[in-house]
Amino acid sequence: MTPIGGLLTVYFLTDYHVSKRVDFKQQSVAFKAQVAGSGRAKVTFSGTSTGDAASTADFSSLHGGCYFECQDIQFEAATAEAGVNDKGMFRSRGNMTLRLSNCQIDLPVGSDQCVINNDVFCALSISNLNGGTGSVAGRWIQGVAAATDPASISTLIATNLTSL
Amino acid sequence: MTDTTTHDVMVAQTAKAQELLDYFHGQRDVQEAQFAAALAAFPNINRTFYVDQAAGNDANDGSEANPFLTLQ
Repeated sequence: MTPIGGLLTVYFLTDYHVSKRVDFKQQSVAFKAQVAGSGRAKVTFSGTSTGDAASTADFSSLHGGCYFECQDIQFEAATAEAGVNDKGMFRSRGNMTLRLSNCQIDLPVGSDQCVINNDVFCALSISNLNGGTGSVAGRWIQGVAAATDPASISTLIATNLTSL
Repeated sequence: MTDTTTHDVMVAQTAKAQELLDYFHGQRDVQEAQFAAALAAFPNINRTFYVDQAAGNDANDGSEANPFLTLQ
């Protein structure tokens, strides 16, 4: 769609369901909403990726040093099926910057679905996050417990969160 | 005699200066044309696409009026 190194901006005109992994070749991808009569677009992830049985459906960059920016998006994950090990909504093949602005995150209560997969070096910037279903505390990064000091996580390059 | 020589030298220098100026302008035009061609050949690395999972079509061009159906 765009040359490597470019910026891809995607506007969701409706809610969107992610049923399998979406690999982005671009280095920077921005997701924005332009839904008639609504402020946010709802992006849902199914529990299991059709293309990769070991992973939850997710947004994945084929780049190291990639940048995902999301504005006005309501993310909702479903509980993964048994045997699915990777449970993040975002991942990359290297380090990643994830910026969520005016977003909502709905994670299923009682599951360990999370925002970022645990195999990613990331920088995480959150602004104006709206509460959703299930607490995001302890589920920003797969396997990192709630109330963890971000400075203690070696894979977290930088964040404006004071607690995970 | 001296005045004539000085005049001739000034005319010659003016002609040389004009020649230099013409050369400069010519080179500038060539470089501007090459720069414009290089810019025109540079791919558009910033792209915007629209996705509509209700009414889009992956055969569309991804514009707001003709959005894609999926991110794939």
